[in-house]
Amino acid sequence: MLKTALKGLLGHKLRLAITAVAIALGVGFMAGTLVLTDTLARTFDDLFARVGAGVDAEVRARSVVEGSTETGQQRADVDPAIVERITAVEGVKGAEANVLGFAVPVKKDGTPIASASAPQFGGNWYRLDEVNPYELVEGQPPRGPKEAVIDRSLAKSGDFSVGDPIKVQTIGPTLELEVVGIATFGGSDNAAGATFVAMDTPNATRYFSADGRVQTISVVGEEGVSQEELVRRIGAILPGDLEAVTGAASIDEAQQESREQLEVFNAFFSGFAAVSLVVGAFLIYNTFGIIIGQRTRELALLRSLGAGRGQVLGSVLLEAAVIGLLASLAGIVLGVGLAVGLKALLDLIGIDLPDTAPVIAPRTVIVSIVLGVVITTLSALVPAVKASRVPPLAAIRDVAVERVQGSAVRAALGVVLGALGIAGLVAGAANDELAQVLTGVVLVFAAVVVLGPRIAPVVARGLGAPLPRLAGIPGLLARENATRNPKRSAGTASALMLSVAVVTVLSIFFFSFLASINSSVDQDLLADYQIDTGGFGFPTLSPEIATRLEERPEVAAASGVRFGSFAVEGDSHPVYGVDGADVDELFDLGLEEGSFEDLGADGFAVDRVTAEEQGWRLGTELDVTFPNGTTRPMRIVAVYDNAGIVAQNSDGHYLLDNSVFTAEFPAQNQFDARVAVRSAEGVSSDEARAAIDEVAAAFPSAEVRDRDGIKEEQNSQLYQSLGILVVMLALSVLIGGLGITNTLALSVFERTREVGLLRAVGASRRQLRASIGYESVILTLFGTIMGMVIGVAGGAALISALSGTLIRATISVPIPFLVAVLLLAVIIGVLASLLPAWRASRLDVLRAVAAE
Amino acid sequence: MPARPAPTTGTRAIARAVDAVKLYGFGDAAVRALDGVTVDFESGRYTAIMGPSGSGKSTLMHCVAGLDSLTSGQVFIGDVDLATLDDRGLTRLRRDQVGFVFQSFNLVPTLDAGENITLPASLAGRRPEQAWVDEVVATLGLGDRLHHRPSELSGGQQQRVAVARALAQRPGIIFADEPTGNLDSKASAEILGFMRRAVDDLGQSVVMVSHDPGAAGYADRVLFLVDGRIVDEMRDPTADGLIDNMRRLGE
Ligand SMILES: Nc1ncnc2c1ncn2[C@@H]1O[C@H](COP(=O)(O)OP(=O)(O)O)[C@@H](O)[C@H]1O
Ligand SMILES: [Mg+2]
Repeated sequence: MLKTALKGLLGHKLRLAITAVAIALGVGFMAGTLVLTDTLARTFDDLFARVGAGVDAEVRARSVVEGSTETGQQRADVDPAIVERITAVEGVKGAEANVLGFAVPVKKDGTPIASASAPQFGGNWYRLDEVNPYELVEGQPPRGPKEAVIDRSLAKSGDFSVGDPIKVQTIGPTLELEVVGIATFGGSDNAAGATFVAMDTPNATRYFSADGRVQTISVVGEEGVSQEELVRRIGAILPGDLEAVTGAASIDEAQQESREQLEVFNAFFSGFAAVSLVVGAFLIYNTFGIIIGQRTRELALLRSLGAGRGQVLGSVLLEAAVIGLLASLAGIVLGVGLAVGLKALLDLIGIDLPDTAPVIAPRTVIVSIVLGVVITTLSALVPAVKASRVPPLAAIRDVAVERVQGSAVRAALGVVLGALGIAGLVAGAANDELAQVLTGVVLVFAAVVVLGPRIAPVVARGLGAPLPRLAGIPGLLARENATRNPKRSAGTASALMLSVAVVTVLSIFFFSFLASINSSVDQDLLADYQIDTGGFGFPTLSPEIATRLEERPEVAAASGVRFGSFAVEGDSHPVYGVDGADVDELFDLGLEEGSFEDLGADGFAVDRVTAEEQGWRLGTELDVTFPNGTTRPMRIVAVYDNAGIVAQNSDGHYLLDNSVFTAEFPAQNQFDARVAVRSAEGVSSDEARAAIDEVAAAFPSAEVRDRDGIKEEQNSQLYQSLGILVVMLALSVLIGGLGITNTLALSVFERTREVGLLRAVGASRRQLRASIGYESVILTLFGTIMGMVIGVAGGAALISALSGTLIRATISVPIPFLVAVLLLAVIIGVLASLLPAWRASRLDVLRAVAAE
Repeated sequence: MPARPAPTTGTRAIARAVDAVKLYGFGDAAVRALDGVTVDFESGRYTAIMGPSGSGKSTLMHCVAGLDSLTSGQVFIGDVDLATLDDRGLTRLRRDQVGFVFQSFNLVPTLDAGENITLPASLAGRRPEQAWVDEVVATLGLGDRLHHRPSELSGGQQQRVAVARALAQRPGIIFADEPTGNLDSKASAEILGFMRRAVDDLGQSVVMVSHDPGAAGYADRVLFLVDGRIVDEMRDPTADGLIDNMRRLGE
C-alpha cells in the first residue's frame, strides 16, 4: 500500500507541488511566529542572565507597587549609605550600588541620540568586575564629575572616540563630559539597543538619580559562601524596609518580567499565527478536496483492480501524511526565514532588537510537524472517504458541472450559526462585552463558511453579471466557471475572506482610535504647544523645562506630564502627574466637582466613572501607597469626566500633582513625558514659539510642536504600527491569493479538454488568459467582499463595545482604506491568475480531441 | 437518402495536402503517422476518410484543419499555406474558416446549446448571422433545446449542437472526426443526414473521418488510408462496395 501511495504522489508532480506549497505556507507562518517570539524571549533572558551573572545577592526596597504594561513595576529606591555596612558583612567580597537613571547623549551637531524603543540609560561604572556586564574595550574607567564611559554603538553612531567631549542630557543639567572609555556588553556593541553612559558611582548617583538614592545594591560573595547563605547574613543587618534576594532569584524575576512585557507582542504574533494557520488549513483542505476529486478515476481503477475500500482510504491518508510531513519540514525552514524577515521589518520601523540567532525550540518543530501532518490528514479525510466510496465502474466520466451541494441540515446549521453570531455582535456592542463580540465574529464567520457553497454562486454570479457585456465570451466563461463548482469557489475564497475580515476589523479599530485621539486633541487640548521627545520614547524630559517655561512672560501656563503607578486602598493603578495649578488651562478634563488647584501634596483627582464604580465622592479620604513605600491618606479633590487627553487614550484615571511625584516616586518617574504649554494672552504665535524654542534649545531631546504638529506626531506613530499590521496581514492575504492560484491551476488542469476545445473553435490565447483572469478576480472579490462585510460588522461591534474605555470617538469605517484593500484584491486576483492562465494558454490544442 | 445533385463547385480544392509527412517521436521509436499524403478536398463535396485504426486518419484531419503541424510537406486552406500562419493566424482560421465536430466532448459544459452554437462568432466579437443560425437550428431541430446545458442533452443532441456550431460560422469546410462513434444507429443516421444536407442544401464542404462503412456511405468520395498513405479512393460509394474494399485493404 505504501508503494501505491508513493507512486500516487510522484505521478502528479504539479499537484504535489501545489499541495506542498499550501501546507508549507500554512505551517511556515506559524513556525515563523513561534521562532520570532522564542528568539525575542531568549534575547532578553540572555540579557538579564548576563547582567546578573556575577551577582550573588541583591539588596532592594521591600515596597513595590505593581504597574501597568506602560509603567512597569515600581520599586522604591535605596539609600546608598547601606553599601558600607553590607560590605562589612562576613562572607561579602564586595557590594556596589546600581544607579540606573536616564541620560540622553547628544551628538556633536547638537541632535540627541534618541532611541524610539530602547531605554537610554545613565548609570554608574562598577568597580567590581563580577557585577559589571560591560567590558572596557578602549580607555579607562570614569573618575570624577567630568568623565564618562559610553557603549560602543553609541561611540559609533555619535562618532565619539576616547578623549572627545560629549554632552549628556540628564534629569537636571545637561552635562559636558569627556569620553574616557568605550565598553561593550557581553561582546555586543550595546545592551539590547539601550544606550549607556556611565560615570563613577558618586557622580552617577548625583546626576542620574534625582534624590541621591540608588535602585538596588549588588553583592558579590566570597568563595564558598552560597547565595542563600549570603542572603541570610545580609538580611540580618538590613533595616525593615530593605530585603535581600539571591542573584538567581533576581535574574529569574527580571526574566519573568520581561516575558510579561513581551506578552503583548506574543499575543499579537500568536493571533497572527492562528489566523495564518486557519488560512493555511483552508488552503490545504481545499487543495486536497480538488486533487482527490480529480483522482476519482484513478482510484476507481484501483478499486476495480481489487483494492478494498480501506486500502483506498489508507493510501490517500498515507499520501496526505507523507506530503504533510515533508511540507511541514519545508514550512519550518520557511518559518525561520520569515522570522528573520519580520525581525528585519521591526528594525526597519525603529524597534531595534539585538541580534540573536533564531531560536528553533523543539516545541516549534513538534507543533509545526504535528499540526502540519494533522491538518493535512484531516483535510484529506473527507475527500478520502468520498474517494473510497467511488464505485469501481464510475471511472469513465467527463467533468460535469457540480450541482449546488449541501443538505438542509447544513443550511439550517449555517442559519443558526449566523443568527447566534449576529445576536452576539449586537448584544456585545450593546453591553460593552468584548468576549461576546469576538464570539459573534467567529460565529458569523463560521456561518459564512458553512453557507459558503450556497452564497458563493449567488454572489459570484452577481459580481460576474456585467462581465459578459464588458468582456464578451471570456467574461461569460469566467462567470460560469466561477460558479460551476460552488463548494470549491467558497472554499477557495474562505482563506482570503478570513484574512480580509481580520484586516478590516483591525483597520476599523485603528482608524477609530486615530479619529478618537485626533478629536481629543481638537476638543480637549487647550494648550497651544507641546514639548515631547518624539517616537514611543521613555519619558526623558527634565522637569526644568516646565519650570523655565513658566518663568517666561510669553507663557501663560505650562505643565509637565509624568506617569507611574501607585496603589489606592491596596490596588495598583497607573497614575499621571500634572501641575495642579495650570492643568485646567491646558487640558479640558471636564471637571465636574472640586478643583485641580487643590491637588497639592495630599490630594488626587479621579474620573467620574471610577468614582462611581468605587462609590467615592469629592472629599473621600483613601489610603494611597507610593513606590517609595509610604502609605498615607489622600483626599479626592476633583472629579472629572475625561482623562483621555492626559493619559493619551491609555488606561489612566488618576491624577496627582507633580510635587507628589517628586516626593514619593523613584528617579525614573521624575522625568516628564511631555510638557503642555499655553501662550499668554496678546502674545503672537511667533513670539510664543520663539520663547518656547529658546527654552527647549537647552534640552537636546526636547521637540516643540504646535497643535497640528502634535496630531501629526501622534498619527505618524500610529501609522507605523499600522504599517506592521498591514505588512503582516498582507502576508496572510498573500496566502489567500496563493490559494486562488492553487485552485485555478487545478481547475485548469481539470478543464484541459475544455480549454483545448475552446482553442479548437477559435479562442485566442489572450481570450483564455483573460477568462481565467476574470474568474480569479471574481473569486478574489467574493472572498474580499465577504471578509469586509464580516469585518465591518465585527469592527463596528468591537468599537461600540470598547467605547467609553479606550475609544471615545464614534465608529470610523475607513472607506479609502477598504477601497484600497478591494483594489489590492483585484490586483492579487490578477496576479494569482497569471500562472494558471499562462499554463492554459500554452495547452496543446489537440489535447481536447486527443485527451484520454 | 437524399437525392444527390451533380456537383457544381467540386472543381476547386478548398483544402489540400501536398506530400504531407507527420512523425511522432524520434529516431528508431519514430512513428510515421502520415507518410507522404497528397490530396485535394473539393469544395462543396462530402469527403470521407476511411482506414484501419492507427492508419493516420485523425492525424491527417488535424493537420489539414490547422490543429497540428506537419513534419514536412504543405497544407493549404483556400490559398493559404498553414505553415505561414502564427498562433494568432491559426486561431483566426479555426474560428472563421473551419468548423469542427469531434467524436465526443464537443461542447463547453458551462454554456447552453445556443451559446455553444454561436461560440465562434462570440469569440470573434461578432454578432452571429441570426437568419442563418436560425436556419441551421431549424434544420437540426434544436429550436427547443437552445437553453439547455450539454449535460441536459442526449449524446445525439450534443452532436447535433456540435454540427450546428460548425455550420453557424459558414466556415466553408467542416472537419468531423468519427462524429457518430459514440452514437446509436438512429442518432448516427440523423447526424450523417444533416451533414449531407449541409453539403447539398447549405453549400458547405465536409471532411469526415470514419471507419464505419455505413457512415462513409453518405459521402461523395471516400479516401482509404493505410499506414499513413492514401492507397485507394472511391467516388459515389455504396456501403457494400465500401465493406468489400475495407475487407480487401485489411488483408
Ligand atoms: N500524440 C501522438 N504521439 C505519438 N504517436 C501518436 C500520437 N498521435 C497518434 N500517434 C500515432 O500515429 C498513428 C496514427 O494515429 P491516428 O491518426 O490517431 O490514427 P487513426 O485516427 O487512424 O486511428 C498511430 O500509430 C498512433 O499511435
Ligand atoms: Mg482517430
